[in-house]
Amino acid sequence: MSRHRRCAFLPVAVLATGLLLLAGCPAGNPSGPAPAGRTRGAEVAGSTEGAAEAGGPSPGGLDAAGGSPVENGVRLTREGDLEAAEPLLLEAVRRNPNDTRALDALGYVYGHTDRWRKAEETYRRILGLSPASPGALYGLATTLADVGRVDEALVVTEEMLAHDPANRNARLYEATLYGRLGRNAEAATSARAVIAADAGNVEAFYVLGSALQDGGDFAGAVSALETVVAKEPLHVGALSRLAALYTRLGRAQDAARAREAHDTALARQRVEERVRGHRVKGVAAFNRGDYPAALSEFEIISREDPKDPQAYLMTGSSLIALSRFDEAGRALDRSLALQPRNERTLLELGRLLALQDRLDEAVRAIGRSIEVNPEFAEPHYFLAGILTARGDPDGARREMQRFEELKARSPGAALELAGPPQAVPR
Amino acid sequence: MGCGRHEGGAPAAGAPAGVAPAEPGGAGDAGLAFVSLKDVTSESGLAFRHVNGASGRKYMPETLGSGVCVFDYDGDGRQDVFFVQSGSLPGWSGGAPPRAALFRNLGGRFEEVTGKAGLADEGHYGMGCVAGDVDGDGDRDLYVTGYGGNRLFRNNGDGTFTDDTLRAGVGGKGLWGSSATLFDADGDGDLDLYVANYVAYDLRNDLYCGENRPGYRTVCHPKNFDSQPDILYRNRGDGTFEDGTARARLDDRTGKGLGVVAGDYDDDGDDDLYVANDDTPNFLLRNRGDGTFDEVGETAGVALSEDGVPQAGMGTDMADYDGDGRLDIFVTNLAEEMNELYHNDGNGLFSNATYASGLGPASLLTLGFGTFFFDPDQDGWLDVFVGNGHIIDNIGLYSDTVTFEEPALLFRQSTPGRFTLAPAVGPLAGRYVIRGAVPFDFDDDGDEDLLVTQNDRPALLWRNDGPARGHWLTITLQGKPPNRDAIGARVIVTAGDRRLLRYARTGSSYASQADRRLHFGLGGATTAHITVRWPGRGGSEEFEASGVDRFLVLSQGGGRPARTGGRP
Repeated sequence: MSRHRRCAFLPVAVLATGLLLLAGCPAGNPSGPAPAGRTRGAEVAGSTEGAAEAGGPSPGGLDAAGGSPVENGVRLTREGDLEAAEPLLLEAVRRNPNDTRALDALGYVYGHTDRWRKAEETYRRILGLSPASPGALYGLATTLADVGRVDEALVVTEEMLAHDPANRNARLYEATLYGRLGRNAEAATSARAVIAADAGNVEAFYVLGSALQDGGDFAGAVSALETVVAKEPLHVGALSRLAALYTRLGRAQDAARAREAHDTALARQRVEERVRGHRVKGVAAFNRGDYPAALSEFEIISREDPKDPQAYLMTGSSLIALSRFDEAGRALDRSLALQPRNERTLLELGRLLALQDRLDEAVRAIGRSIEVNPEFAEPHYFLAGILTARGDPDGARREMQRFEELKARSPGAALELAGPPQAVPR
Repeated sequence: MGCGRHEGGAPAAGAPAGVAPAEPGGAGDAGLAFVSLKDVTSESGLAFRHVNGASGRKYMPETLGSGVCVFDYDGDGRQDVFFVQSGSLPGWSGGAPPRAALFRNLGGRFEEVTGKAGLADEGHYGMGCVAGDVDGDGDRDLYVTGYGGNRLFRNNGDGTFTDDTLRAGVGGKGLWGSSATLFDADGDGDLDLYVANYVAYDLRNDLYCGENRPGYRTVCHPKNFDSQPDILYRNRGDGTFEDGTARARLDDRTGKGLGVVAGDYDDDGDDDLYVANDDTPNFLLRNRGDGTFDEVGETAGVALSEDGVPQAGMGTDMADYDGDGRLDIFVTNLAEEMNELYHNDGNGLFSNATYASGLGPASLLTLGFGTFFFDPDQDGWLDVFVGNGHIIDNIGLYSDTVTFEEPALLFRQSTPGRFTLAPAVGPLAGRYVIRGAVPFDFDDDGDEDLLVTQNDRPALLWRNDGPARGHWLTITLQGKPPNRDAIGARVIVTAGDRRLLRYARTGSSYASQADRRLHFGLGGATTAHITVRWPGRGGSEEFEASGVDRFLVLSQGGGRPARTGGRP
């Protein structure tokens, strides 16, 4: 499962029971570091920015006040909101099947959401329209490499370099691919070419160091990797390799320091290791009704990882349970600022608004949750409650019916809601 | 997968005496299918179907079973088969409790004898197994790991077993046992037991993972759960055990253990351990010679990927794939991670040979479990088998490329240190959800066949129909009591200018145990000189093979004393 897909715990608070459940990532979808293939080589590889630098279509010149589907889609892709970008890009392509900017961004979206087949098809489609498109060639190369077709990826990269020998991203990716094929001397040569043109390119030094290490030039590898760490002290790969190299060279103290630095760098990356205990305790506390304890745990998570939207969501749920509605609203707003299209957060916001008797806004928020995920059952349950409160039994019945339909299609779904929805208390 | 598709390959002709084994690959056959496999499951009588107890609630345990053990339970000289069963989970409506299964080898055909043997193991959610003579009475006992605890079945010596878990003290403390291995940790001659444990997972929590859409619920990632400590049970010498974890200095770290294999990687005469951990660094437990261990995985370079991150280790094997006399390590990982090959450089250090070997990129789209080095074409060079199968049964909703059922991968060592993927023909063209996988010469014809288990599906037996590219020897060791199977012995067969190294061991791969007989492909050599370093302080002996293409039984004390390196 793609590591670029955002996955997180998705707790839900239930009006009737106050039960908070912990939802997490699919088993193959850790929100951790990029796959091995992508850390070896330019991280910019595959991004639309990288594609632009590689000579591909540039998404620049956007109109901030609105913009077309392609402009907004490309912008959202660059911002990492691939889920929001995709429908816009599809719309752009529907309107103009030959829009290579939209196709390029779409290829990126597919490649970063485990749909490599579609990614390959999309890039090849661009190349059918624009055979020398650097962005498409680059995207195709990375897609092929991601699925293990390294030889083919190299051929495509070479083609790119044939058109533009000075393309540094392509040259660096060539180095990366040589490394993956065990062709260390060639990997080193290509990496050095990049360094010659760009002495500050950290990843080029990393690729060089890796190639030299794998080729047996340990002293050379140390030099290159020390350059990496000097520029990026928390570079996990470089630190790990240096620890091994120092050990091999008999530099025990340097090895120990590198290992410690590596452990620190890894711990920083794997924030979930640090917060997992708090998350589990927080959920357990919420489920037994100890909302102050739950809140305390979730707030710790937010401090550890201020960019975790789920922590703010869970904080919001806890604050709702404590009737601290204004603070809950602020927490949910922070969650939505980080992840605007989280259907659970939108649902929770709807619940909060309903509790504050702001029913129109509640309906809108829950409506947005349904819009984000039409197959999400729970919003219909809560909407039924609101409609009941508004004296619309037919509407409530329709929503409950929809809830039951969706729930029936999902055995073992997240929430076993007890009984019919309660009318929202005033 | 981008691999070639070729058919054919003529059997290798016999070579004159003394000719060195051929280089792997040979002239003119690059890319050809190097062995022909045939699914003989139904005709063999090995009818076993694993039941995972799934109900749609996506409990973690339902994804990981189960393993298989090959061992001679009745002492008739034929290798029998035990399949671990998992069984029911809350919400499962499958009817009668599923049973484990023991099959007696009748000579290439099997009959089920589970009930007679007392090995149904009902009510136990089994994961893996290991077999060995824990009480030194001359027959092989069976240990079955599981979610929530493990069981020891003591062999009564008459074809039946008794659940001796409580008396033996090896119940596993209610942890989630995955793989296990029996080995002599402290050099006192009896077999100790190492159990890898996975994560602290409680069925009652019923966590929801995956997208909030019907049908999209998936099993949760192990990162959501705390790791559990592995346990080293020290044998008191009578088949009862005490928890020796702390004494062995193994209690200061935990991982999410799924695979374990024993082997003397530093060639100092004692057995070390490698533990494949899921989502946490792998362990290399170096035996200090006295039953205490140092965890040296990161120092040695075998704990992490080449880019310094922990991976999802599942199955593992240790073998000398390049013939330099040192045990190398291979571990299978998740889809989008490569399986990793660590080359033993000596001096306790390994280098990552994944890319250089060609074993890496081909594994990116598959999720590897059971794995082993073996020599199916008997050319003298070890090849690699990887059994694959995803853990997310609805992965197709999340990816258009990764699939739940996956092909098994067979890699041929086509040039020294370099592997190429065998064509997907025969059973290799199928798609499976493999978990346990072991080499097993079930029909005693001298070549290694393959036995695999699947998650919630039937086990499969694939017969190796050649062609053989060389001669072979299969060696059975007879040690001295209490370690009559000579677990921990190192055997070197010198054939031509090649030195072929094997270790006698129990558990390996994923949650499984292979045929304990040591198979050697000799290539073109027609003579073989054998050196056995017996376990513990048994010393070393030399034997001359009376010929090739035969089964040999080597008894401790039956050879000529030899001088070898390492401990006596």
